[in-house]
Amino acid sequence: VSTDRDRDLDDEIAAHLRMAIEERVKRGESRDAAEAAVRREFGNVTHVKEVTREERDGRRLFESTVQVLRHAIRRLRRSPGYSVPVILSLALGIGLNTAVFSMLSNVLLRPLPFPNQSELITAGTRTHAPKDPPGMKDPTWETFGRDLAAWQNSRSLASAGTFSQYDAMIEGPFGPEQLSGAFASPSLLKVLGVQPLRGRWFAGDERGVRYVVIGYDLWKRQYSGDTNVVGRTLHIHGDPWTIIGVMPRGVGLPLDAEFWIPSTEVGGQLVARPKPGLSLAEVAKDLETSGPGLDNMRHAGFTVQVVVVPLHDQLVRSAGPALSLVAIGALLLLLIACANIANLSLARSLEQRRETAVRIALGARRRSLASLILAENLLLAMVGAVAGAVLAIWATRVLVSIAPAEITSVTDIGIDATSVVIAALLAVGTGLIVSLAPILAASHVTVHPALGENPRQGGGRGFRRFRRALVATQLALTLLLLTGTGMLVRSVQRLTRPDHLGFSPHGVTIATLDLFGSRFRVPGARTSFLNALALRAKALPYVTDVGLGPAPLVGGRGEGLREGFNAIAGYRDSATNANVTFWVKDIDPGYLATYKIHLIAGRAFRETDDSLAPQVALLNAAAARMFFGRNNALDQTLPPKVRFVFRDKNHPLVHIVGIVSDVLQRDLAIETVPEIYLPVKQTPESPVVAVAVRSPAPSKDVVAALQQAIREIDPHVAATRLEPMDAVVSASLARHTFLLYLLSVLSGLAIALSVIGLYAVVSYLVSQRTFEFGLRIALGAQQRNIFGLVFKEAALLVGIGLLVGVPAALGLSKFIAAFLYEVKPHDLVTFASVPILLCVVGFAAAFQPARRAVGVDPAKTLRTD
Amino acid sequence: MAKRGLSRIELLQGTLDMIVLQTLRWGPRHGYGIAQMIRSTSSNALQVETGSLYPALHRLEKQKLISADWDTSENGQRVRVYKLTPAGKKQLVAERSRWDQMSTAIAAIFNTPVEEP
Repeated sequence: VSTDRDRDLDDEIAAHLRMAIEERVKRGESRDAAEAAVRREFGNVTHVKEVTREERDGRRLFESTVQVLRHAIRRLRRSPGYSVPVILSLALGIGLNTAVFSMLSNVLLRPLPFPNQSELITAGTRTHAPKDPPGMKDPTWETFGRDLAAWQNSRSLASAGTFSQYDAMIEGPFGPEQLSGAFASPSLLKVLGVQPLRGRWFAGDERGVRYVVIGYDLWKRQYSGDTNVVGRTLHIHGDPWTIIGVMPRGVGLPLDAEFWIPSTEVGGQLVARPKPGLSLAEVAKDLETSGPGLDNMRHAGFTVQVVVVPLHDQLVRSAGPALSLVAIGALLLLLIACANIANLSLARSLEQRRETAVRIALGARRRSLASLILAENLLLAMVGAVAGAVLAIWATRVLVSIAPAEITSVTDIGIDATSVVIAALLAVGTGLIVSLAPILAASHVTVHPALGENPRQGGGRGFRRFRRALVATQLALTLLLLTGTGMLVRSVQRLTRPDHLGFSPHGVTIATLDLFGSRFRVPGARTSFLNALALRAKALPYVTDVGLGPAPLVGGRGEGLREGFNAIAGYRDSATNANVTFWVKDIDPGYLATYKIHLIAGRAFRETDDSLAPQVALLNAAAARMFFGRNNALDQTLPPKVRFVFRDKNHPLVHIVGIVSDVLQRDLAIETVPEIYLPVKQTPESPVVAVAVRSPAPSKDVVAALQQAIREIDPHVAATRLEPMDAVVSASLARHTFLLYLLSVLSGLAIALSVIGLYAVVSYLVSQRTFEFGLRIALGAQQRNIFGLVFKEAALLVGIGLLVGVPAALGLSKFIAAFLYEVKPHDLVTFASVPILLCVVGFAAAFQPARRAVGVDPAKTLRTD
Repeated sequence: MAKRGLSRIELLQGTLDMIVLQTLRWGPRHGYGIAQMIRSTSSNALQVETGSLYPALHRLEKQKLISADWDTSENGQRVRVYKLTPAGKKQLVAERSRWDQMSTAIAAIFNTPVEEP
């Protein structure tokens, strides 16, 4: 077809030329002269044909795009006052979102490093009682694998293994390190479906021998990747262990573990592959009915519900909600940035109304104007995206460095292809969104009025309303961010108050010791070491108190045994029919004073409460309430129905001699659990391994002194934890502070962007009404009247922002409720102070334009316009 | 070179299109005839470059504002004859009012007082 049409065009033009020549010949020119003249007149025939074909078939897309882009670049370079702020806002919005979403996708979506990893499941137990404290809603995962043999023969599981976190002090050829490691069952690798890189995994006959499998990084670091590493020695807590294997790079469970030792009777968290075709619910049902290990817990008064989830979900579970919240915050910031850009771009298109009108008058099609605007904004978005990507690389590094371990331990996080795609999508998306307003504006330009009007008074009522709406939206979104952040701030404040903690962390230094080696299996060995350490600690200068007993706020990640808890006990409350778990802590007489735990009634333990004296106990307030309700718990005996789960301990007559205030144990944000304190001396083979020291001296010195003391008593004993209690508190707060830090940064940026938006609109208003202000001043208006006029505009915008933002924030606040502690989602203080802050912000943004308005020189203004 | 020619055509297209449509109001005509007609009716003031006439004709044809047929001219030439479509007539009316706006516009540009910076 095309060649036919080309021939037609050739014929058409040939006919034209012939006619023109003929006419000239008729007028008496020579044929040669006529031909030459016509050719000259017609111009380049080939070129005309080319252009005609282009007009007929449409210009090739690529060429026209290049042309539009060139034009756009020229225009943008001419107005840096517009391009630079737009690029900066975009870089900020896109950069932060790319960083946050990369993190999100890395943490939540990246598969575990095992073949068919989606089949892997884990299981936990939970008691489902209506009155359980909210913190106990999390299932317990750490202990489910205790009866591994039974699970391996279960009807629903094809294979099963266990692991449990075990952090330890190790020593290789390059010196000692504190490392994450794990107890692992011999079956674990078969379940995971991986093979060691070198050597072998455990065979199940490791009783009495110390065999260890090390991770790739540890192999490279401590043994320089020695190919003959199998058979060499790794010291764990001073004991020599023989290396039998090396794991492949990045493969292992827990994901951050660097060494594995065979689990003996300890068990741990279950990892399994279900038999084909079974749903998670079916597996849970089977485990719940067939699991023999659960009987013990049922006998202790628990009703047990088994929870089965994909292993991946369980490993990343805790990071999900916090990251989502940050992602929402980042998206809000991007929206605020978009509103800003749309606003700037609209202001620019208003300034260019005359230019647009002239273009339209000269025949430019509205579509080509729209494509120009689109090209400009997409260009800006692309430049912004590149700048944003650079920012994202940096921001990701910062994010990873401040993120709590539950996020960073999952995987190494960096900017990858996904991030690039995310950034590009964000850029195109924002480019399109911010183009809408000015395109609409341009399509409403009508030639006549736009050209006739004064450039300073451009923009109809519709535009003004639209720009106001943009700024009000911005303010409303900022308010959302600010209230969220405000409530988190309040929540963290509450979390760290001593009356919430139940003890006073400041000035306390704790030492948890690894007293689990074979040397300490001798009866009394552990206690004698601890007593020796306590004696030395008491002798240190400036030490006021020393206490033995498990430290508060530790033991959250299934580390209870390592931190020296006596046991966890269970109890079924007949009145409420609720199942209750509580902690049992062995302490010495100095413990309460060291932590400044308040004694509500009765007495503390004495040195005379020893193995010969009657058995005594202290309850915390929660436990007293639980056992005796409103009745006095003092001088009662511990109810016989209290059962200790992990230990078959009989407690014929334990007298309750005192009640102490509740102390946070698992997590800052989790409600207190009932606790029973027993004297160390009345508990043979007490598992306590922790010493606490209170001293006004700098904690650094106390840590050093304790280190020294430990070394002097037994150079082979390592401290698994030796740090000021303040550090424990902030570590326990890590998830909250991470959120708080990020949301604070986002809020700060949101405020900055809103100020810019507000400033732009108010100052535009001032320039628009210069004439009016001049007239008013000329007629005798006072400064404050003019100020009032300008601030009225700002107040209007802030007012609309508040009217929209406050209800929206109230409506959305339930999403943040999960992160709040003792702060209601409708927290009055936050909802009162954030609007005030926004009013201050509004005032600040309007101040400079208002001063300009007051400074209008009536003589000059009135003459010019 | 090619690029420059292109942009010149684009700049004039609105005006030229209107003139072509106006010319065809008097009946179907071939390209050469249109060029002649424009020259004579504007008393030779508008020298329409043939280089931009044919692109304009084919553009208008594509926009279905004019239609074209092969015919034989009075002196036996095979020529392509263009005529106005109903859409073209409507467009012409619109173009006229736009033309009026444009004259006002250009007048306004020349009459705008110099702004203070």
